[in-house]
Amino acid sequence: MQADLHQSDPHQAMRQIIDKSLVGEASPQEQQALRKHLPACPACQKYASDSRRAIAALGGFSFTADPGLQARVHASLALRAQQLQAAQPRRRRIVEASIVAFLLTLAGSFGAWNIGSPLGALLHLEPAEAQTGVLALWILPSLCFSLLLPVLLLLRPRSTNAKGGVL
Amino acid sequence: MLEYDGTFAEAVTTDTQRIARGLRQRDLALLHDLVDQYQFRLVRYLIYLLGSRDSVDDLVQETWLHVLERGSSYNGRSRFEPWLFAIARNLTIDHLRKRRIYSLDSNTDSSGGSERDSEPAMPVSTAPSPFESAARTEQAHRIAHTLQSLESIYREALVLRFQEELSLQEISAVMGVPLTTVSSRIYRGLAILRAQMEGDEYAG
Repeated sequence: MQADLHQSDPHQAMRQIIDKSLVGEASPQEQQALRKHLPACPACQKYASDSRRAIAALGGFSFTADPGLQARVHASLALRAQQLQAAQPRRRRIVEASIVAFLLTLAGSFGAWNIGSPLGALLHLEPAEAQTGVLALWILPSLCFSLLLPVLLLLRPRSTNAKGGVL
Repeated sequence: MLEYDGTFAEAVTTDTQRIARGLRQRDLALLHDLVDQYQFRLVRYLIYLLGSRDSVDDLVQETWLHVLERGSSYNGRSRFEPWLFAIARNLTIDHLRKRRIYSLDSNTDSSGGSERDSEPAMPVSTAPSPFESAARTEQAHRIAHTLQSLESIYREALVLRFQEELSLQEISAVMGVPLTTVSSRIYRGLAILRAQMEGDEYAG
C-alpha cells in the first residue's frame, strides 16, 4: 500500500500512513510527512490515538492455560521420546537387512552373468538353465526381500501419541 | 549502538542454533524448556486462530509432539516462534478439516493476494467467547465481541503482528500468503477493531 501524499484528502493519506507506521511499513519520507502533519491536525491525532488504543486493547486479554496442560505435555513428550528411541534399533535392523538383501541381489546377478557356464557344467545343465535357476532361486527372492523391507518400514505406523492415535 | 545490535543479533542466532541442535538431537530437557517458555504464547495464538478454547489443549500437545518428531527440519537460521506457529497452524487446519467444519469458501478477503485453500474457518461454538472471559480491561471487553465475530484470518494477522511482534515476513511465512496479503489483513483487522471502539466513525 503506497500512500498518495498528494491525494485530494490529505487526512485520508495521513491515515494510511498512520496505519503503515503502526504496522511498521511506513517509509522515512512518509514518516516525515506524518510528523509534519500530525501536530497541526486534531482529527488525525485522534485517529492515531484510537488506532493505538485498539492495538493496546489486544493486550488486554489474560488467557489462562489449563493448569494440568503443561504437565501433560511434558509427560507425553517423555513417553514419545522413549518410543522413538526404542523404535530406532528396530528400524536400523530392518534397513541393514534390506541392504544385505540388495547386496545379495547384486551378487546373484553378477554370478548369473559370469558363472552361468561353469555352474551349468558343474550341475550338468545348459548355461541358460543355470542362469534361470540362479534368477529364480537367488536373484528374485533377494530382490523381493530387499524391496519388501523398506515398504514394510514405510507401511508400519510410525508412532502413537499419548492417546494412542497415530501421529 | 551498532555494536550492541550486532551482539544482540549474534546472541539470537546462537540461541536459535542451540535450539536447532537440541531439536536434531531430540534433547528432552531443551524441549521441556521450550514448552515452559512458549506454552502461553502458543495457547494464545491458537485461541486467536480458533476463536474458541475447544481443542486448544489437544492442539498444543500435538504441536509439541510434532516439534519432537520433526525437530530436525528447523534449521536455526530464523527465529523459533514462526516455525512453531506454522506447525500449530497446519495442525489446526488438519484438525478443522477432520471435524468437517472447514469450508474452502468461507474465508476469502478482498486483498487481491492469492488465498491458499488452507485458511482456518471459525468453528461455530455455543460456549462463551474466550475473549470475553479473558478480557481484563474495559477496552478489551469492548472489543471481545468484535474479535469473536472477526474472521480468523484477520484475528490471526493481528495477534501475530501486535502480540507476538512478528515481522511481516515472518507472518507471511507462518500464514503462507504473500506480504501484501498479510498487510491488508492487518489493516482490515485494525480498521474493524477501531470502528468497534469508536462507533462507526472510521468504518468502511
